[in-house]
Amino acid sequence: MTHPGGSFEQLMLETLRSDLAAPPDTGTHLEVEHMLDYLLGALPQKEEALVRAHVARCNTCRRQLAAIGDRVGAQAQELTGQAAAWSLTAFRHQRASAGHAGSRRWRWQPRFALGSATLALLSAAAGIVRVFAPTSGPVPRGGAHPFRWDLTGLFFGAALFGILALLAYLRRRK
Amino acid sequence: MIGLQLEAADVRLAFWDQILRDEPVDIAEIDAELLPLTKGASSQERIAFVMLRSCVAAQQSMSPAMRRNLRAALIHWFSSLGTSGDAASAKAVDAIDIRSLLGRKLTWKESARMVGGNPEDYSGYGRLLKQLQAAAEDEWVRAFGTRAPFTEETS
Repeated sequence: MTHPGGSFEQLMLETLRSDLAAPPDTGTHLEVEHMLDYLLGALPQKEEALVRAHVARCNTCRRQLAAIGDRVGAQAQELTGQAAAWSLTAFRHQRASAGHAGSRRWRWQPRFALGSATLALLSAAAGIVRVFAPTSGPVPRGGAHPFRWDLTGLFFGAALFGILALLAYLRRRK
Repeated sequence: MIGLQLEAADVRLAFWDQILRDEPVDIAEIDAELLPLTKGASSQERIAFVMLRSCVAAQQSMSPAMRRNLRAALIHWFSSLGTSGDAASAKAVDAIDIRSLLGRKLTWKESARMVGGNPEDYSGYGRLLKQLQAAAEDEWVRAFGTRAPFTEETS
């Protein structure tokens, strides 16, 4: 080889070592804005490589980047903690309101009890009318009124349900 | 290049960093950003430019195995530079970038393993060096029109 440094491998090492030599303090340095963008992963691939490369050789920027990284990390941790606390509070509120809504859903309401009572009275009246009202058409032999089971049972069932619902409501009020 | 105004060494190291990480490097970008800086520059600056450009040019025609050899060689070289105090920490290298490698003193075997290459293929390193040297000599002639100062004597 004609190169005084020796082999090609040696030349390559010398070249890389020379590029890695630290720049003087008065040399060009990274701006804080670029460091922040780098730490936040907001730089394009090429610029990221440039920041990494400069930091590899520049002690000043390396120290500054580490310091900014620590601050950003601490703030991120604080924000994460706050976000977790907010989430927990929101979750508790949600659970509490859901529980409240749930109990309200199944609670006896006055309007439901009154509605049930009205239905009970109407059903009972309809059932009585239907049993004892004269039938149209031919009267069966013997002249007795037939007891009509078709809808009568349903009327009385609804009446019974309404009465039970009203009783349950009155009992809860006590 | 970009918003950062740094020195030629920074720009070259950024390209080396990209090769190390197996990121695509555009040779036209190297020409645009670094070739103008070689006019009137020192021999050392010119050699640094030619070394980088020839590696990227050679890389484009390399087999996947040889590309791994190139990355392993860069890992080996960068890890041999700097002092042990430069090593970011005592733990194993978890990122392939220049800063993490400095001062690690990794052997060829360790370097080849890091890029998924064959750690037993020592001849691969020799072949790579030959290929890079030939490429660098060609690049020098192409860029500066003279014989490269590191040309091997063929007497």
